[in-house]
Amino acid sequence: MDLDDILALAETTPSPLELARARRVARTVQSQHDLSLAEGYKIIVDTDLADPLTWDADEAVRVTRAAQLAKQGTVTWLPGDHDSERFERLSWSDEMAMIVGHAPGTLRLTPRTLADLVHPADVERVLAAVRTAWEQSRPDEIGFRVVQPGGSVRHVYCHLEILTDAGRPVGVIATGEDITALELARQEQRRLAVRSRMLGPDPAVRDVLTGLQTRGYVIDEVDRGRRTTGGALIVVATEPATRLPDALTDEDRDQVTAEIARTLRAVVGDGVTSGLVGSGSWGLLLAPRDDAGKAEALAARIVDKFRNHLFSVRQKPLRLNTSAGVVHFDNDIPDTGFDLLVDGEHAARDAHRNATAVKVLERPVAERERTDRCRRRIHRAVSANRFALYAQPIIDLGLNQVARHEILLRVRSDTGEPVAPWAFLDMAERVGEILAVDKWVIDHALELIGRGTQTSHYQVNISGKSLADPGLLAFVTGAIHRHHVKPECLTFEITETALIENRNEALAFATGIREVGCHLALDDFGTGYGALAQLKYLPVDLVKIDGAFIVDLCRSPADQAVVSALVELCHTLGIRVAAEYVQDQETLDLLRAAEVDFAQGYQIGRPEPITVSQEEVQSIELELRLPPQQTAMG
Amino acid sequence: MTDIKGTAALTPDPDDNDALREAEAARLKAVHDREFAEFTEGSYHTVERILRARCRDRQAVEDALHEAFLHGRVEWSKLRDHVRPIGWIVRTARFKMLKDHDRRLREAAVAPEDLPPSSHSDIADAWEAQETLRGWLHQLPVRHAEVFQMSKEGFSNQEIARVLGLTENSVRSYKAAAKKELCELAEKAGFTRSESERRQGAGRGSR
Repeated sequence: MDLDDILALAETTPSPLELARARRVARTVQSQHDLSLAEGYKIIVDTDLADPLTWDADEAVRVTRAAQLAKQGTVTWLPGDHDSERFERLSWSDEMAMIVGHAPGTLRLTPRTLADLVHPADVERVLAAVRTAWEQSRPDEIGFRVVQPGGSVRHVYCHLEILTDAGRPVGVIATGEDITALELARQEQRRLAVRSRMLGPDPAVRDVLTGLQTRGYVIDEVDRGRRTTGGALIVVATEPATRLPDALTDEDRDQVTAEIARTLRAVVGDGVTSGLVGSGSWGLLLAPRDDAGKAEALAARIVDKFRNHLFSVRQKPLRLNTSAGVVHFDNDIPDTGFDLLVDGEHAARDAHRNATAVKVLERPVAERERTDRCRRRIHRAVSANRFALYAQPIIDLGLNQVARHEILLRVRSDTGEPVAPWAFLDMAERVGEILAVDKWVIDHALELIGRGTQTSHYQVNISGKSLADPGLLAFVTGAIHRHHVKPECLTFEITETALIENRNEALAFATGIREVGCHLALDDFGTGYGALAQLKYLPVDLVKIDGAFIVDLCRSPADQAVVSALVELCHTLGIRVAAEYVQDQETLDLLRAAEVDFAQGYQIGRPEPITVSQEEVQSIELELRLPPQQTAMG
Repeated sequence: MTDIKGTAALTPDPDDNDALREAEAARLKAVHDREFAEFTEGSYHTVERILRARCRDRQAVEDALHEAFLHGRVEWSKLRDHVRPIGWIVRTARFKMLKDHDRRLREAAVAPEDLPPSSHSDIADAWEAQETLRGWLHQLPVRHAEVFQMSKEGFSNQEIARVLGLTENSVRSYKAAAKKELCELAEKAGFTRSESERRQGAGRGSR
């Protein structure tokens, strides 16, 4: 079956349905007509009654008249003929004059004035279209903009047609109308289509690894709970019962985490707000408040399940020490979601310490007590050196070789297991103790760097909050001199998970640290508090685009747009650009194509315990042996 | 019934005269009524098909048609002398739709930019064929669709040019372009006649 068959099939005598419709219309029309006669009013017919099929005007007149009826304007061009007495004629209808913003009859029309009415960017296209239509004797259509005398721009759409006389082309007639409103509607439609294509899911909702909600999401939900219904927060702390072998990679650890998440999901189902809220720390929210002991029962069930479940890592069985804390809370309490989470974690720790399965708090802990406990934890961690430093390679995409390392912090759990520090750092920032941690990192990182060959370039993190401390610059320069570090080998990354507290101090630190010879970078750019204004007033040398824009780069045109625009912006401002969380070769290629300067991620290299030189691998034990007076408690 | 003052006395029976005239008018009206009913039944589907080739909005087409036919009835005494009164009806209904600017805007704003080729299924009857064809026509430039549909309904190039207010050169061009575009759309939807089918004489169900 092809088009001709379909056409043949479609071409039929009217169907019974069509005939019925016709009869109905005939009847209604007839009765309306009769009614008007009977009641003596006239139905006004505004169309001229000439038979269109016999109306014998020339083509230009007919087309113009038709355009008029459709409220469109026309321009007629008759080039004339040298052999006969006809001359070039250019004319337009009143409607067309009004479309381009002139009162009818006020403008003497020449090809020149006509071209001047068209938007300068469109003139060439319009002229070419007219010329081609005339030369090939073929109709065409074209959309363009006109500039009205006041300077306002309108969108016009024109049909170009060839006028013939006795079969010979004699001119061109353009029928046009103002389609500005339509054009705007179309543009809006296109914009909306692009917008919905570009709009990604909220990355804060689900964690890729665990399939559960993220820490930020859980905290927000708990916060919502304490403002509305009240409820109970369960925090389950899990910890390997035996120390994991050092050879374990991050991937193995991730697999354990994913397995725990699966087990947790199997116990509680998907309906409960739950997520990984810290390393080995799982939060679940039960709302509204319910005193029937549901939360306690669920916590006990989870602990029981985890304690009896045999997890595995690298085909070896693994048992988890598990305990849980439950915090009940009413609505309208002053404690935030974060506060409640901290209480839950503390309760879980207490349970572990007391060798019980679950510890229950009937209400949140007093603010003062909570903060003190957090501070004590941080101080104890700092003074006991319960940290380890790792280094992750960064590749220079221009040279295609590892040119830098970022110094990363790992916090030791109670068993001495180094774990990712994000929850710990978040807590330290929130209770205002991040400075002590930052100083520890700076001092120890610079010491390790100073002992090495200093062939690489090192990037060290400082929280935006710490910059408020007036003594920080002196501390850093002191450490640089003390450990004989080449300042040009150092970049300080300002992480902006918290707001830069004191703009003036931050600026003073930034300026001062660059005078020493170090570089300055903005970390996690684009998701935290880092505003574009900072690129203007902070003397930044490097911007690290947040991983949220990189992980899905290959599949997300929105991420690609953000990255390429950021690169262009930064390069214009004299700032280099780095991308983190690079997980595959395809992303790496895209970043290189986008002229990103540096890349970092599992594809390039995972964080490794710091190596001082090629031969000597700094072991965790060595760091543990550091004497306490070298710590940076200030 | 005005100018009878002076002559009324002379006329033997003015009432008779009036009655005669009224009877004549009634007879004429009955003739026109019948003519118009016949005309409507014979032409409605044609006009409807032509207008629906240009406009997606079926209700708008029916409204415009209703008005055009009503006006046609009012002026039937003149229209009945046209070569083909249907030309006037098409023209009138079409301009009614063209003037309804707001509706056109709405339609353009919600019209899908790229319609996927209508899914291929066997076309078994005239109605399916018309619907498929209409779906394709709506993807064509409006003028092409209109000209094509009119020529399908048996109008000559000159007639089309005059009813639609186009030049004859354009009509020829639009018609050819429409045919070409329709062929492409049909092929895209899988309606092609492969050689093997031609030999077997299988008329449909191709892909």
